Amino acid sequence: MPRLEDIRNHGKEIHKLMKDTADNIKPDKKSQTWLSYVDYVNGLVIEGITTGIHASMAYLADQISIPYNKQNNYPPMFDVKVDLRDREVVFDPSVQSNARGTGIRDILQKIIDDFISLAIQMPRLDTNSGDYLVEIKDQFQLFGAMQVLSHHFRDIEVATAEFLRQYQGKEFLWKETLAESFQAFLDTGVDPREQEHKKVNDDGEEEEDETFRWMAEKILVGVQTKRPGLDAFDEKITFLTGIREEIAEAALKPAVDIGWLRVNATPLIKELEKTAGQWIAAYTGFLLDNTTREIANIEAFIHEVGTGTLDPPRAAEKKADKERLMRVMAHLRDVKMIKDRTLEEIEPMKQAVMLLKKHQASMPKDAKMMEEDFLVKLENAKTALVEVSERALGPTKEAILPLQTAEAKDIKARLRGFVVKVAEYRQVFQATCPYHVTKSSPEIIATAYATISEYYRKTGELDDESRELNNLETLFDMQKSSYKQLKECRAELCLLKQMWDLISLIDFQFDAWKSTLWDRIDTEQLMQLIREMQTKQCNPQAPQNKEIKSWKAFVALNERVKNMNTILPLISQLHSKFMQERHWKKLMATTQQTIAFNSPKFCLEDLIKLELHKFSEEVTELVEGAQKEAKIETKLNAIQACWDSQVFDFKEYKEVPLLGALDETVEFGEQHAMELMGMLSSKDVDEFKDRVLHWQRTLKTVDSVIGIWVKVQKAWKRLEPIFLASEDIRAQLPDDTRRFEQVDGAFKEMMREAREEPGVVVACTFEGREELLNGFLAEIELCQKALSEYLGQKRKIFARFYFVSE
Amino acid sequence: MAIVSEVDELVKKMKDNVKKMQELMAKWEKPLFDRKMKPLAPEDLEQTH
Repeated sequence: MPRLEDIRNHGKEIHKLMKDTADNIKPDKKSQTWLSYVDYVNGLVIEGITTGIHASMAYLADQISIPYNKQNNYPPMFDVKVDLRDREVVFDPSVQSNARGTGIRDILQKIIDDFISLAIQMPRLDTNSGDYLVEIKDQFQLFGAMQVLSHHFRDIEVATAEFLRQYQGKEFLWKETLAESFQAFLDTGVDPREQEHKKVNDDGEEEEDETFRWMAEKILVGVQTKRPGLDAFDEKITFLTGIREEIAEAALKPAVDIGWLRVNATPLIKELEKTAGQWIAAYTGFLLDNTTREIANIEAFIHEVGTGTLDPPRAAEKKADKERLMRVMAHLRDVKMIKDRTLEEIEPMKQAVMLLKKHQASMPKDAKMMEEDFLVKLENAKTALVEVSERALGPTKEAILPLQTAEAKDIKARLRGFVVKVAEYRQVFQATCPYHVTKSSPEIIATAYATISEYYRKTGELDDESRELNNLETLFDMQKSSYKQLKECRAELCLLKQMWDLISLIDFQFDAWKSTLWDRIDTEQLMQLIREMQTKQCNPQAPQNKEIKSWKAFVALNERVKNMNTILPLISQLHSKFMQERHWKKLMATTQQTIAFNSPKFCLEDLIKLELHKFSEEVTELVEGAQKEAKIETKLNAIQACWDSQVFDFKEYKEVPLLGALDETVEFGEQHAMELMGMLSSKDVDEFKDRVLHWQRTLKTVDSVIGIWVKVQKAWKRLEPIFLASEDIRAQLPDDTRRFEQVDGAFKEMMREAREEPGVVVACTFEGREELLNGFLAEIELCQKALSEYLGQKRKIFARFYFVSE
Repeated sequence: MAIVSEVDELVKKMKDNVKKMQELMAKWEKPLFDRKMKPLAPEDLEQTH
């Protein structure tokens, strides 16, 4: 840039002038005075640069101030375009900075950077090298100027954004796809072809109004009937035309000045005008095409009927004549069917043409040509259709009437035959179809489906035939037969299929369960599923089962589900841990079936085979019994364990081991005797009866032996010092003393023997012990008796002995 | 007296030189950007200022 070149030269000159000063003064260049002077001049240079930069900035700030430009009536500084990019309206180049650095903001920044480069155009005066950038960057004055520049730039940003806002209502033109939007518009309409058209026939029944079907075949071929009404088209086309006018208005003045920017919108406006035109063409073109096609269809129909009814046959003996008669009659039928509806169509079509006319300014030229033509054509078609119809239904109909009457006779005979055929078919249908098959297996299900398919086919054939006859009835102006029985067959086929779907669904489900191994059967989960079946699919009260609930196949299915529902809780019970082999055997005996309950393959199917639903009470009893038996067994084991550990506690007395305290043993004996009594009264004791009785006997023995034993021991202890230590007694009762001595010896021996095996049960049931003890008791009682007698005598003699105890 | 006048000469010289410098620097106050009185394409501007 030439100006910077000048500035560089100025810099050189300033250096020269400084040198000149130095040359003249010849200073000591290191002296403080000289350095201060250099610093002073350096300061002047900094001031000069700052002032220079500030001046440029202030100037630029004015150039980008909107009011300044307005006051001075300046032409804009930059040319920018407005265009469409990536479905957005944008400035080109952008107002803000952009990635490529081409935005207006970027360009201004470059200019400002150039201003600042003033600080690097001359070497520093003080150091002879480097530049003044550091000082310049700290200048408060320059900050202020930058602020003003930014402020003015923000104004242009706001103004340009405001400019773009005028395109807001037109965004659909570049954001939406025409084809999709137009389709969505068509979809808001209702298609009369998709609706059911009903009318009440002569029997007072509701039946299909065939008019529309015939219309669709003749007049509406290739015509798009799913579309909104003409009002919607009018509204849309008016709206689009308005948009296009707005755009066209903008096109008159494509360049707009915004502050100091000249905005050229030509590229955008051209694009939008083109697009708006395409949108309008889509809507008007659709109406035009649809109307063209429908008019052509009507004309073709008029032609077809007109030529077809011109020359009716006079006789109908030959096959060709008969066929011609049929064709003529078909034309008469068509006319009768659709004439009125077609005449009704003319008015809306005219309206469509009028609508196109209203918007013709927005349409292509060749389309405009067609409109007048259309109105004429429609008027002509109306007249022609009435004419042709009158001729067809008048003279033509009259001409063929005799032939028609003759032909009608044959047809009536056919109709009667068909009524009989349908009635017979209905009987066979009802006898053969699987309404009441109560058994179920994959084979039975397959057969049921095969039968349903077969009768579906047969019913279809009869349906075709009935349609053909209905067609003839229409042709010959006869009342249409409705063949209720065929309708019933059709309806029942659907219900049968539905029922067998349900049967196979549930039976296959049960089959899948059957292979579940015994350990894996989760009855809770299965019952949940069963409950669902009962309340939903199989529920006879459910609306979908209303028709089939009385059919036996359905009843049987429900029975199977119910049985399964009974079986599953029983199976859950059988899972009891108390179930032993003997219980399973008992179950087999009850059900009179054999199952491999020990096999690893033991599964749900085995249990289902048992038909447990018939033995609900027995199973409950069995499982409860098993539980009670287990209780008895546990108690018995406890009793046994207790007695296994009960031992006599021997205490040494005069070198003889005597029985110690027996309270605990006696207490156990009483308690257990009670328990055993209780068990015996339970009906589930059978399995353990022997053991219970054994223990009852054992404890009885123990109780009685202990009783005798204690008596013997007590008596021995009392008599032993009398008989063995008293010489007097020995002398007075020699026999009894001997007797006692014998008992004493045997008793001591028995006691020592008993100590060797101190278990209470063992000791008490030791072979011969009870008898031995009884023997002891008898002998001791004799000794006691003798002693008492002796003492009695003594008392008589020595009265004071009355107070001596025995 | 000679010295005085010599010093006076020197001071004059110094002041002169500073004045000349300030005159040079005054030229920098003319803006470095030149507004054209017709709209430019932004890309054309860079080369012209």
